[in-house]
Amino acid sequence: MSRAGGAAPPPPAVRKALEPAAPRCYRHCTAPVGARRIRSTLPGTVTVYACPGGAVSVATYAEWSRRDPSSAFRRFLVGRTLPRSLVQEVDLRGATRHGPELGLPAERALRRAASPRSVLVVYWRVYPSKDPDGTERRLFVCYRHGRAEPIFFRAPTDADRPRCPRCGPGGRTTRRTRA
Amino acid sequence: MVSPTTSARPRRLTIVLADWCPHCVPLSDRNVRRLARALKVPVRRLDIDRRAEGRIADAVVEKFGDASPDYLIPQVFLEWSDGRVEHLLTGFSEEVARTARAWKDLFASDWLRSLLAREGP
Repeated sequence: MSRAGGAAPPPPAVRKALEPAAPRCYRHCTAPVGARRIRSTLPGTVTVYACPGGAVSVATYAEWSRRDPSSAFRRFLVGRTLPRSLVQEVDLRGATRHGPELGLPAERALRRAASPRSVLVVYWRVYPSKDPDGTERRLFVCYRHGRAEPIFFRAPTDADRPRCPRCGPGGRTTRRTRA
Repeated sequence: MVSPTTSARPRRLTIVLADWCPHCVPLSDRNVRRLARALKVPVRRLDIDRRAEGRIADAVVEKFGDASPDYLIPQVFLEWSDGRVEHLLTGFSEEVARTARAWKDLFASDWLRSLLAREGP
């Protein structure tokens, strides 16, 4: 716990406790949501919850720390969101996880720590919105650019696996993909 | 969280919620009352959509809870006899079932067991 002023990823028991049980896609479809851990240089853990169609239910950042990690997470998102203005402070919501509400293994793991502290989780949830013409748009994610480079973008809610602006209309990607 | 070995005693539970929030009503509304019965303390219910209560809720969350421009609900606080206010729980944004699990885990926690053992029957 020496990085970033004592910030660190949550202990494994806590990471497991933070996983949702059986989440369903939020206001898009009925498919189960998959959690994908994103590589980053941040001391904590970035996880994106999205359905198979790429619709994002929520993205989270969990850090074992005494500082508010919202700004760091926001910078991470801004660098991976097109347009950047899609990342609004009002859509970032923090929660402190103390241990007793995380189950006994996590509670005990946090209590055993040399310097007991809570886990801070920041949620980024962008609610669907309507364009002037009535088209509803929501947040999608594209994973075609590497494990550290999810690209977040808005697309019509009824779009089927929409391509991100970086992929472009021709479907070019920055990485080879299997046929 | 405050160690149950201190001499202070639980005095009141406060829940910040909204009636339209499925993490709040009935789930957390019911569970905070159950926790209050266990701790033998009253509950203060602060509805963010009622103007007067909302102002108090904002202040409590700002000072003791998980504050942000559009903060998460529910948030639950335990007030102690020595004046301290302890943030206990914030709803889980992922899904209502996850918030339900958090309540279940809180009731089964070492923290609550120790606190109830100290408080006696």
